[in-house]
Amino acid sequence: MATSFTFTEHDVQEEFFARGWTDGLPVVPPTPERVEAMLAFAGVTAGDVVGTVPERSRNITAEKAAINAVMAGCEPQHFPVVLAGIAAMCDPIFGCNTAITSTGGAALCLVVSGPNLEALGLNANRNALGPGYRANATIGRAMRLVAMNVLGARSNYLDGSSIGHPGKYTMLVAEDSPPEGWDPLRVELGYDQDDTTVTVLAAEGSHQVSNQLNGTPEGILATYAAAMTNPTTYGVGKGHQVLLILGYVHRMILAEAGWTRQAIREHLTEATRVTPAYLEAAGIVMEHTTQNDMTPDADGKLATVRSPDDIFLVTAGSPGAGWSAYIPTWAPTIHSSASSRKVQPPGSGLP
Amino acid sequence: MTTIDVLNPEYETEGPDEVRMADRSTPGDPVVITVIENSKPHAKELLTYVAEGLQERLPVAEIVVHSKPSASKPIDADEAEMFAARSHLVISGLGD
Repeated sequence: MATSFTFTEHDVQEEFFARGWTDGLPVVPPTPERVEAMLAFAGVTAGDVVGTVPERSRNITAEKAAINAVMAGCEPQHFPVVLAGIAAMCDPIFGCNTAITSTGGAALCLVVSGPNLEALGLNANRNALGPGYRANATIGRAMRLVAMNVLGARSNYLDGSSIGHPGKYTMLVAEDSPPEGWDPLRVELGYDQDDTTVTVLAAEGSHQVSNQLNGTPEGILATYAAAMTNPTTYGVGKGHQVLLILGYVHRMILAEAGWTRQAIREHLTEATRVTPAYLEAAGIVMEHTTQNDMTPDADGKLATVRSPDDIFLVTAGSPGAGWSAYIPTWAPTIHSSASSRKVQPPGSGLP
Repeated sequence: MTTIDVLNPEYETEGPDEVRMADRSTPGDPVVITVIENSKPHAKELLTYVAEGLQERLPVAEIVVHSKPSASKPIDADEAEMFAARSHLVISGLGD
């Protein structure tokens, strides 16, 4: 059980700042009552282990997750989503310890896909990655606070980020209903239409992708491919994963022209192959180490994504003009791959 | 003055009563040094150089270099046991 402290209400925020327990913003004080409400809503007990990070020899218990979720500002109904995010983060394929400590400064980017995200208060429409929605802001923030407080990934300790980015405070994408004929992400990942899922990616910052005047699918896809092959992104030519947020106008043009999600992913997998010369022109040095072997394939090119499955398509954003967003993962898949978990219904226990 | 009870958000565990440094001694018999390089650029060269430098100070019988497939992936328990069984000294760890 967590130890407790008694502070004056006047001093409680300053105590949390002084102890390095916050992300630099004020927090909701994690009183025993608030924490218990989280645990009770999810149907978990304090000592339940949500996930383990072997390199740190640390378990993340439901109680510690709940304390940090309270601090982030979550409501109890958000806690099952946080638990699923933590469980996904602790999947070995995600490489949690490196993702939260690397100089690359990755965010813990959550993608939530579900049939009724509005009930959770999640916004998938206007300003989909922007401020103004408690659930979007606080669920993502809870993940970062867990990384800081439970796993020690603080700026003055194990978080070695050289630059980092604002998504390290919070980064959550809620999926909007896809156009008719397209499956949502959760179905594409093998879950049921009625499930709610969380996918976590170790992410660089979000890049807005603008194409407002070219109304053809080919033109939009060419713009996406250009964004995805920015040679300054670490994983370009090294086989990483990407999250592509298809804005309203772009996705409607693509869907109405008959492009399937699989066809888009296959097209972009090919269109983002690059030559060493293209990267070298940007000053990039070809690596030939075990972990990042940049020896070209038979066609003389390098894969930016090795498989269509490494492109995660999500629909979000409101109508108006032609905006999408591209979020590359921070490193090639040999270091980290996206991981998903189903969100358990209220009272149903661990994911 | 109004007070408020709050719970500790940090990881908490009972640590060992005592943490001791490994014994410091100069081996008399030839030793096997294992180098675990993490596959970052120049890691293998640098750590091998360090191991070879130890040959001036220790009676080194063999230097074994193990290359991890990725800096992000830890060696597993079986590998750790194998290195411990066959080595007198294991050098690992390299930052950017």
